[in-house]
Amino acid sequence: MNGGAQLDEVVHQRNRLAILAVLEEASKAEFGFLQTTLDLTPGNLSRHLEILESAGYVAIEKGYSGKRPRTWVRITKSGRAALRAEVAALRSLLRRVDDLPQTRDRARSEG
Amino acid sequence: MGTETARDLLDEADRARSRARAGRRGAWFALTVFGALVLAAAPLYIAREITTYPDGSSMWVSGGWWVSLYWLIAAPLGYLVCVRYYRRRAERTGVAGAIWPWVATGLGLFALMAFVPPGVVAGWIPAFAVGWTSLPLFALAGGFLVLAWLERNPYLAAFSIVLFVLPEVCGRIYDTFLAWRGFSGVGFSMLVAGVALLCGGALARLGEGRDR
Repeated sequence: MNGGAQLDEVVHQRNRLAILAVLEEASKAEFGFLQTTLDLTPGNLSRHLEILESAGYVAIEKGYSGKRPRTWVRITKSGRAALRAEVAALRSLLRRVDDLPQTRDRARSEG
Repeated sequence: MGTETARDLLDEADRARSRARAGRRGAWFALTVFGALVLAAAPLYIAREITTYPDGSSMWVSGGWWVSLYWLIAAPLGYLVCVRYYRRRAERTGVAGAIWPWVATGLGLFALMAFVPPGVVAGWIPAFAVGWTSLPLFALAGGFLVLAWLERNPYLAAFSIVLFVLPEVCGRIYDTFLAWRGFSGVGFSMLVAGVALLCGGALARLGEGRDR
């Protein structure tokens, strides 16, 4: 039992799941905020964002605030759906594991 | 995948979500701005003017068209100041939350009250409904309820509900104990609501500082 059929490999990774969770909560977040909040190195965060962007789960806008370059990231509709599906799959996996002893007891008492 | 890993992933996502939530909350500012505006409006309700209804009857009511005028200027101004604050804050902190549903609800409720008068006012002032009742507080409370939902803030939601019932409670207190003082029930409600909003803003500020 692994519940793997419903798990999306792009989202099924600790940091990428956390990035999408932050972005679902905010309408947009800046690269620096994501880096600090998730305690990632710039290179690491960039790599995860590239993967999420190529899957169509986030949209990246680059701009300036005064003279300072800033990169804002937003979650897309499909990113939101992928995050919800992943969370639902993880919860369902945990529920099934929690139910397992009861099912075993029931089978034993019926057998 | 083990259950511990699944649990860890969910916990990590929840932690990330709450950090983002704490980073984008800014309700303290909105509460403070509207608290000041409500408090500033209170003295305007001392004045009274005669109102004529369609059946020809008339009565003295507190406030009047200048109160309507005040709210028609103050409410959009208040929302504008808050929008600027949220934008600057997003630039500074690097995280932005959706606020337009709150602004649209708040201003929409004000517009509804301004252009759907409950009776006919002497001089046919269209913003009459806003001018002599506690309706501005209901408009603010409705807006704050939406902001509470947007910021996932249960304290703000509870505060908004208090703001909904406050005019009724204050009106009764005023009628029972204070009517002889020559102020007005609505003015008294505005005074109490203004102080409550300012206190709510100060408490929210403390809470937001602690969460960050």
